[in-house]
Amino acid sequence: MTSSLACERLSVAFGANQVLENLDFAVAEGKVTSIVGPNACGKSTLLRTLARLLKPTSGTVALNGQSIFEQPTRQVARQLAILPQSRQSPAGMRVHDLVLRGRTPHQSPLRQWSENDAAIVAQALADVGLAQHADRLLEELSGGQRQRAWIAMALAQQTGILLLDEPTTFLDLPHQVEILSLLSTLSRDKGQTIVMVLHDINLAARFSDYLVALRDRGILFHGTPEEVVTPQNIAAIYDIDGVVIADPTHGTPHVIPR
Amino acid sequence: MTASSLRWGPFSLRLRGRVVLTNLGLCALIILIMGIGITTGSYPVDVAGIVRVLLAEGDDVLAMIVVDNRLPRLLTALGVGLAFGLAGEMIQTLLRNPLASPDVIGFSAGASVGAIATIVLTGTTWFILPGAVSGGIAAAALVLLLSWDRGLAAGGIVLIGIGVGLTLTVVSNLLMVRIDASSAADVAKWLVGSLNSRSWTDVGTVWIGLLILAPLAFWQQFALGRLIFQDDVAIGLGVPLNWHRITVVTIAIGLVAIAVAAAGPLPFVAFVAGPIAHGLNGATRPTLLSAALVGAVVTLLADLVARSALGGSALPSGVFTALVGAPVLLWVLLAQARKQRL
Repeated sequence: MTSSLACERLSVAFGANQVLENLDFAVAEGKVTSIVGPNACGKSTLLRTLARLLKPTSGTVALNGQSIFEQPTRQVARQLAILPQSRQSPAGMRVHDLVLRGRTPHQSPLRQWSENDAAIVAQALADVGLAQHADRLLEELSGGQRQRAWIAMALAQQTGILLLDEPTTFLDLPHQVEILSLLSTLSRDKGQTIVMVLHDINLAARFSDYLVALRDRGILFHGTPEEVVTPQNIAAIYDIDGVVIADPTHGTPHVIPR
Repeated sequence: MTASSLRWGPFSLRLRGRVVLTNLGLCALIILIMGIGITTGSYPVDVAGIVRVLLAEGDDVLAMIVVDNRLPRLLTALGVGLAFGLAGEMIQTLLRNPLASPDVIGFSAGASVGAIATIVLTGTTWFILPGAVSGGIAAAALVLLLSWDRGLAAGGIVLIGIGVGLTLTVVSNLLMVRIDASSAADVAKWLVGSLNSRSWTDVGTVWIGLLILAPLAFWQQFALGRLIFQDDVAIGLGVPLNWHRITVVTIAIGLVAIAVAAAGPLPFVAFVAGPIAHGLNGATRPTLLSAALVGAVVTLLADLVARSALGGSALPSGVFTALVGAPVLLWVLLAQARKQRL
């Protein structure tokens, strides 16, 4: 169920404002890639363009070698799921209803609840640890639980690629760690390709296989956390002076601003 | 909260217990109101009398009252209520705003102007349906065009739609001036909506329309259930947004047009159906069937009240649907204001 995702000479602009220019980048299959960089560097724009939510001004995004913008949106949705940053939970919606919506690209008005759907929804709920809460209203859940419910919806879509725009925003530290652990486990155990935008460089370094650092409309660095997170690179990405130490428990690079 | 699975060959559906119960209850209520409607009135008919008429054994007076008078009136009310309920739920779901129902945002007013205009222009009532359809489309196009700002903004649509609706109501009134007094009484039904002296032609208009449009509406329910999310989420799920928006708006305009052509705008039926239905069935939008049934209950009740309580005053049913609708409108407005303050 693996799919390949890559962008070629990708440029995106909002009116006269050029946000991304000539990006080339292939997503590592079955791995976790995090897009990092300073505010307003185009992280979300890149992710949204990879998910066909934004149209590039030039260049293209290739899903399995074919332009994502030329494939039917339903066909794309069977290979790539996206959790956008701002989401409102419709009033009165229950966890189970939400996760079942993830089956949409595999369903039709006549086939809305096959045995296969039931099994996959149950599995997705179990994967995120919400099996006990299937009948609860979304508005009753804690922030972390609600985020897991949305992730379960994306999992029920059964796509090889999962894109997430700042999945840890508005969550406190334990919930951030909980969500990121869940995502890295999914990638390790099920070979799920994950691309996400993250603000926190230290959490990104700890939970990602690869980092993509954006700055000034382009990719500044692309590599493993050890390759990307060095004092020189951090200075180039964020304009800050910092030291990098090995995380005492996990050994991943950890930035300490001076 | 129990749900059951309905699976038959390639067909499968998940049914929530409370939604099914609500729908059954509403159906029973509709049968009850229609039963009262057909038996009571200035000439009461008992059930045995109705059965005789249906078996073509009753006397002529009885047959005239039941077949020519009460039955078409009730069947029109039922069909019109279903059509308004469906259209209201569809547009409210599509625009993600309970205020954005076709009667609040000017679609019904447009259909009324269209219907009246054909009478003024042709002097006959033959072209009312095409008139209502074109009026509805024109009003919807105007509202959507004026409120288009790099996409559909539901808040903007409501304000602009109310403005367009008020303007069109004035146009309806102005057109009335052009009509001679004898037919003006007939035409008045398109100002507020009335179920007085409906004929089998009206029954035909609304039920043939429903037969064509209702299945299309229910087919769109699946996509509508995804359009409740923000655009990015819906696209991510593989739903072609623009195609479904155009289809849903077109079907809803069609439903409003057949209802308006048969009985006039009947303010607030489309508007109240959805909120009441969701209060009863406790489910997320859209539940088209519940909303349609609530629309029918409200319309039939308004008709019953118009005929009985203030008997002889002959107030049009539209006045009574507005009587139910206005408090619900206030309630929705207050609920929205409170949510924004939080």
